[in-house]
Amino acid sequence: MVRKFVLFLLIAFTGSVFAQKATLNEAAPNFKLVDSNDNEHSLRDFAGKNVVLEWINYDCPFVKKHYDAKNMQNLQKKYTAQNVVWLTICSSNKGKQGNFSVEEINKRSKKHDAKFTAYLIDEDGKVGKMYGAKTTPHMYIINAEGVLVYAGGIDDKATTDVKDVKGAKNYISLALDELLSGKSVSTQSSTPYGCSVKY
Amino acid sequence: MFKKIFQIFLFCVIISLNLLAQTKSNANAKIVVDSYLLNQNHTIPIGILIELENDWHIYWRNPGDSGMPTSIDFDLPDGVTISEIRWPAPKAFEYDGLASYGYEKQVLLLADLLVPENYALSSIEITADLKSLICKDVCIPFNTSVSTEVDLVNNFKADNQISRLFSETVRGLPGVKQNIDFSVKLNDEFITFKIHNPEIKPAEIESLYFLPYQNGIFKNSIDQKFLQKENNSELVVEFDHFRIEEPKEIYGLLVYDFGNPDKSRKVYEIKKLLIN
Repeated sequence: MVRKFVLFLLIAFTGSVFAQKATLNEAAPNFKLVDSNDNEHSLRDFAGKNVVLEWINYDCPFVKKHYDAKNMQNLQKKYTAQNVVWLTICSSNKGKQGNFSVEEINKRSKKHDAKFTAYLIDEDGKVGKMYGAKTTPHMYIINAEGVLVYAGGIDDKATTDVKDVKGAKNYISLALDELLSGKSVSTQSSTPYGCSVKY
Repeated sequence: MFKKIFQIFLFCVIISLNLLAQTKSNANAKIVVDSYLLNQNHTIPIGILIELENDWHIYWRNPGDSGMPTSIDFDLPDGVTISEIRWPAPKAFEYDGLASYGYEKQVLLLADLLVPENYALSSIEITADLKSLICKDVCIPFNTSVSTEVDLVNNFKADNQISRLFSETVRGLPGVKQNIDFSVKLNDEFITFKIHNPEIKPAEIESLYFLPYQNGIFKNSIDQKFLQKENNSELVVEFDHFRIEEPKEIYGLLVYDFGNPDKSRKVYEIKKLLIN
């Protein structure tokens, strides 16, 4: 555990100095954002844990698909129970779709029964651009060593139909199951789909 | 208390109706049929005509960095088949260093209905289920089912406006030219095309870019580095930073812009296997 932590710090520090653009199989760039409850979080806070980054816009039809189907919440609940950290990030700029007050964010998150670890607000889009987030949703997985091991879509059905969730190949659960059983992620990228991030 | 509940209910109904009205009025679709003669090869030209309100767009077969590919599922009577959709060349919508591909105002997606000779019925009904996304600054699903009846007894003459639309669309379809000669060189970050197109003088080209049919391999952008040489053009296309796989083929559109209002762009479909 300590070894993993030290390794994570080494990789994260190196990452923060040299690699500000997220790249698969390299240290995930560190960032610091405030959540909807005014708490600050840094990626480094979660050293030694698997971390999911989920880009969100509650008004996007693709995000609605996964939340109305309870797909996203079920993933959040299942994997946070297994010590995975789930960070939901909104990079919608002020005045653009998906940018809400913290009261509205918390109200909608409660309504959806969301089970993320924190909803982080990235209003200037710096973190979104650092990770190359294009769509909502757009998903990333960082392993316990702080390495980015997945970037892409939530699944392989690029539609807005709730009924397509059931038969879809879910890349997030596949990747997390592999990581949690000590294996490496077999599908490291897929084409993300969704609404454009409203930078 | 009840008054408040009723007010909330009324508010919800108004919002739902508004949303429904908005979806219905921002775009509409129908099946249109071009003129045909039945004593020929029973190939009937049809199209899905999609019309959009100002500033709304719909997506190409590869939507680019966001959106959703437009898809059409046909419901046809037994024995009747349909060709692949022929997609007009899309426009690129660039924003924040990203790009999507699609259409504005109006697009006609073409196909040929293939009816066997001596078909028993005197007419057939065809239905097309369109699944798509339309976007402006926000996006909304545009899913609709459209039908039309096709007469199999009498020759059909489409009205002039529809015929003209078919002719213009066919003229503007990407050309498939066997004599475009191109080679590619791959490295880790990008692919370099060397293109010799005998129909076009390199000096006339203002910009040149490649639009792939498959998403997720190449960076979506029309801002591709292009070099004019005497007899050929060199084009550098970056890979997507998180590309899903190494390219097995080059399949997509080469788009030439001439910077001359009198010369409209030329689009060619190119295809080459990279792996044997």
